[in-house]
Amino acid sequence: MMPRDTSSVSFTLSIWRDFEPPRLLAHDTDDAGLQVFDGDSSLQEQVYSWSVREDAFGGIPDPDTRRDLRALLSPRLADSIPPPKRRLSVLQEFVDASQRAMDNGEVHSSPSQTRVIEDPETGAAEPIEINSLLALTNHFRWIISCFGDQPGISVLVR
Amino acid sequence: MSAVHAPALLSPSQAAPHIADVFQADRECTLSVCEERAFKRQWLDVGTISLVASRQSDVKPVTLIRHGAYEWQLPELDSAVAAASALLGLSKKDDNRRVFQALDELASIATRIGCTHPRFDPVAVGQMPFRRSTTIVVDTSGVLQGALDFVARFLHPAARVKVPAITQMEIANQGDRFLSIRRSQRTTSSVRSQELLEHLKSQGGQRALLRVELHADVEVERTYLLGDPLRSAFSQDREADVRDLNISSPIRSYADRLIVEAARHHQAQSGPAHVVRLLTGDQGQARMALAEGIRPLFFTAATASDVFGHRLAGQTFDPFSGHIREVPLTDLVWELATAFGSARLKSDSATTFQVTAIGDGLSWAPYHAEQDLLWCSHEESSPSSVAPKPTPVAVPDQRPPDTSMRDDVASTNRPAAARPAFLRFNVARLFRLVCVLDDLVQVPIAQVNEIAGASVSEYRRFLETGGFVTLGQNTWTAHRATAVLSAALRNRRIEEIKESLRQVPSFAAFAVRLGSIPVGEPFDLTELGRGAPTYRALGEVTLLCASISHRTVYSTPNVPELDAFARIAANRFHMLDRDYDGLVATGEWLEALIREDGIHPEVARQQLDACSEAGLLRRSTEGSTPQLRFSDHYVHVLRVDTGLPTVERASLYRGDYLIPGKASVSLRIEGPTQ
Repeated sequence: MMPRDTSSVSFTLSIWRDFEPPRLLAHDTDDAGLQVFDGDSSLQEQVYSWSVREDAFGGIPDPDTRRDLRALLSPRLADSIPPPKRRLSVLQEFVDASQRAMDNGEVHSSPSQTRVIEDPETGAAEPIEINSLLALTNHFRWIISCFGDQPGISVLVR
Repeated sequence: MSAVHAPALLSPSQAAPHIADVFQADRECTLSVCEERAFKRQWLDVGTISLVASRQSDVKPVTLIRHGAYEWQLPELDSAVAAASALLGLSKKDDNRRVFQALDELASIATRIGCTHPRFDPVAVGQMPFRRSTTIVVDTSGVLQGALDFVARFLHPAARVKVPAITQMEIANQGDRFLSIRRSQRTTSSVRSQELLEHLKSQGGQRALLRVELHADVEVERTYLLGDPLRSAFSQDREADVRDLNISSPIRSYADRLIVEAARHHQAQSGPAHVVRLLTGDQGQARMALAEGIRPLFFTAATASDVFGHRLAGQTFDPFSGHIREVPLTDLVWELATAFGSARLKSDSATTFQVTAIGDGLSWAPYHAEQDLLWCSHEESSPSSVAPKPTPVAVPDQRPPDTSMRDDVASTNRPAAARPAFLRFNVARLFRLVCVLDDLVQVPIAQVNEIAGASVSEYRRFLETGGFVTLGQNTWTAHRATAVLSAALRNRRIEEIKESLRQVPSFAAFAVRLGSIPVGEPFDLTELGRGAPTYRALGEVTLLCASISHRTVYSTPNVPELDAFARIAANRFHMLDRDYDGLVATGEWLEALIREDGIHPEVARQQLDACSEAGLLRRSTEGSTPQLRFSDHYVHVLRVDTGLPTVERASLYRGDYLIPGKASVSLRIEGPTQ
């Protein structure tokens, strides 16, 4: 029995784009006074946010594979990384890596954390099995296809 | 040998068990489609369907099918093009654009059922899900390429759908074209390719409209045809003098124009703040709408290259909430059958299930659409020709670590020594199987399968490890231990049943574990993993334990003498009678005896009867309405019906458990107190 991987919890992925305010914006800070933002400021605007409710990596028995895949999301797409280094190409790397893991048979189904079904024989409710990494990968493909061509897009995972 | 069943009308829900039969021997099968004229009744493979379940899972295929627990691996695009071209009679030199278009339509099918999504404009995705009421006017591409289904699925109810009459008419025209080709005698490759394409578009489009109209939880509004204002532009102008102006040419985008007009008309009728958007995948339509002040909700349709060579899942993530969505396998099969004419699932063991929407001798009536009925037939191989796949006895659990709370409990309570596998099966079926084995001594495997159902390997492992049976080539042979257990079951001799079952290592381990737990301390059933419901039932019918909730049981080793029981029963009753009205819920009293005194409800029931007869206690019940909120508080009990053992659920909060014929909920006990 492998130890429980407490890091395998749900996460939030958000898509941001460079923001050029139509007018000047100002932020009143206690220390530096009024901070003014114009079109040249590195402002970001969130355009899409999505939280996964399942353990997306629960179907990967090998801890190394699980760790490597998670690392492609965080810290690679963490908020400590500047937006120009958090482009959709990094998300595409994750998609490619997870596809390879699935092709190599390294991914199995795992019990859902949110959906249960009742066994008509025993009457017991048990989680249904899902391949959450496949669902996640397909969803990321959709995100990349929607936002892939737009300039100034960055991805944040936390 | 195989049995072929004649086509019958079935709804997706009715068909699910038949589809499950295809997966009985293998958890994977081939998915094929057929357009009877275009493919000349041959089948085009469009991938494999594999059910998602771990090896240890006992969830039945029909449940997996209904909950979308499957993966659809599509073939590589090149091979699909080659296969479709061959079926259409196209050579390598022929123009195969229509083949690619037909395979694009398959991508649209995947989009319509929700296995994949249309690619929306990034700005549009940023505005989803809509926060305020928005009217979506749909053009034909929106219907055919799955965007309408996306709106109905994820953007309703903020999104109100308007289907312009011209959209319906365009799809009806496609249907006319398809039927006219179908009725013609021409069967060249070009005609067959055209027929395939028109079939896919028209029937798929009509199904999408009917789904939204009849089944989806979405409001569809109608619009005027709005043809007249521009009709003159479409008519031939016979003015000879101004022929150079070429005003007699018809406007090619007339239908597009009418759809924009429908959107403008709705915008004019709505308040200025109401948002009207035109759902289209057509660039020209989107540009026209933009120029006319109508915001398009533009999308790019999924194409064949987006899905072929990929693996799609019946369980997808909601693009906005992140929750799991389920696309039943029947949705996929029904959509393919409608678009192509027929769809088929076929296992390696040659069991097939075929769904057909159109064909010679197959009728159609409005109720077919209303109830989503299609013609289904299945061909099954005989049981003897399909040997059940051997289930390895000592397969290690390859499932990844369960990260739920259960493992925390399990890791702290689990004994360090190797433990036997806790199996999962239906206890009533096990007892029935034991009696049949006792009666026949040698039971054919087919009969065992009939009794045990899909989980036969679990029954086998349980009985084999207890020395009850040995397995021959085609039969199970009962040992003497089976006769002993059978006799004990038929006569409800609980102690003998318990002793017999102790020969099974997993049951013995469970009994020892229960015996090590002090009275009043809960035992977390999740320690037993997937076998928890089975061993709970076994423990309850053998009076080893009783449950208060689904997750925990209490050890119930105590069987007090009558006078001692009378005192315990009365004391417990008075402790619970907090309102001093002389009444306590029957379930509350029984559960207190389980928890505090380690007395099983069956023992309590029997002793209460005996005490009453002996005059040690007086008992009565009041109240006539069972408390439904406690309906899940029950124990499994052994009963004998016409000489055969059965397992029933005894509801603790129903008075008729204690006093037959009284469904009362409250109990009164008068008698000795300590």
